[in-house]
Amino acid sequence: VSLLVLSNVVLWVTVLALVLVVLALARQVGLLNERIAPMGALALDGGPAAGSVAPSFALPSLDGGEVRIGGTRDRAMLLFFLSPDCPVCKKLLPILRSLAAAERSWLDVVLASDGTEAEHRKFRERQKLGGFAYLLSGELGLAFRVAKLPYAVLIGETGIVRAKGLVNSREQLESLITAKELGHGTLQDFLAARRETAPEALKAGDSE
Amino acid sequence: MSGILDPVLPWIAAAALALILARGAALKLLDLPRFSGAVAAYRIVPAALVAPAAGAVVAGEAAAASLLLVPDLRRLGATLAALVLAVVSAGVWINLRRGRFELDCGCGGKGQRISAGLLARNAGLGALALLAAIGPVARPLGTADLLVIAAASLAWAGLYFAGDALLASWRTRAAS
Repeated sequence: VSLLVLSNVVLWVTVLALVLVVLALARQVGLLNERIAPMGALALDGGPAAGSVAPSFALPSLDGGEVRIGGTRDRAMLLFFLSPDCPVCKKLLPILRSLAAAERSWLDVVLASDGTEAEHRKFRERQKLGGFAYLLSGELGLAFRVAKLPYAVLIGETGIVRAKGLVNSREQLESLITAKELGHGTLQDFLAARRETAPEALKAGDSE
Repeated sequence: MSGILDPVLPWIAAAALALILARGAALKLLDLPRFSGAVAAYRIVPAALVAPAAGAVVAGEAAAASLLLVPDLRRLGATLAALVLAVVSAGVWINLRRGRFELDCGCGGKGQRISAGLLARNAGLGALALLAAIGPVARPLGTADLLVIAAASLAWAGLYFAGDALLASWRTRAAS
């Protein structure tokens, strides 16, 4: 009987240790997945590509003025597509605010959505978005083929789309600004450019 | 109730379920704004009722977790746990039927999207609640019983957390 008790104790210790190991492995898998996932804003297919001319719009803003999109302006514009019932959008609003303040010298941040005006006025008030122009237009979202939110489009001073993509985090939002500075419109472009240079490096290595 | 089962087995189920529910409630409490956002995004309750509904889910989870550990109230706790699970699963099912596969499930932590796997997971938890609701046979529990209950419930809850983490990362990878 004492052998039975002993073996039971040993087995329980083993089971608990194994569970701990499995738990650690599952966490590691999650972490690795996160690290592999692209950190830049993912551009979805469709809509005006980076480097092409942005469609022109002149739309009334909820704060009273009119906002012109596309065409030559003296400042760049970040169009941020959001919706009141998208949790990630709300999470990004403070980040968007600090970004707008930091890049104030050259960048206008404009919010865009569609739906009933009353709902958006309430949302704008509750989230204290008075500092931003706020556009309501279904056509704007269609023109840029916005399928997932929050989505951001960076339009340069000359009316050319500089960068765009689905943004879920501060890093992805900032990657749009970096993309404009580097000249790569999308993360895919950047990766493709890197892939093109990589085989040459390989060849050089082979010949030696 | 019939005395087929030794009281140890329902106790293991109850303790494991209590651990799982307590963790869920704690994660949601830590980021309550995000959880209410997720509840709003389910588009089932009207906007005015989002905050009370989110609070009710968290409170239900926490209450079920504590009731499950009280000997005389274990069955009540199991019923409450099953009720919370049923409500939440109904929300997931309705939105899966609507085709909104991108929805954040609001399960707490890093989050995962709603999926059929999530429903299967909740069904498993429901089975655990059922097991916990089985009437106890009158038998005094000794120290050895308590040790077995502690070890086995930790093992079950740990396996559940590992499975849940895998489910979440599998879903994000499939989506990207």
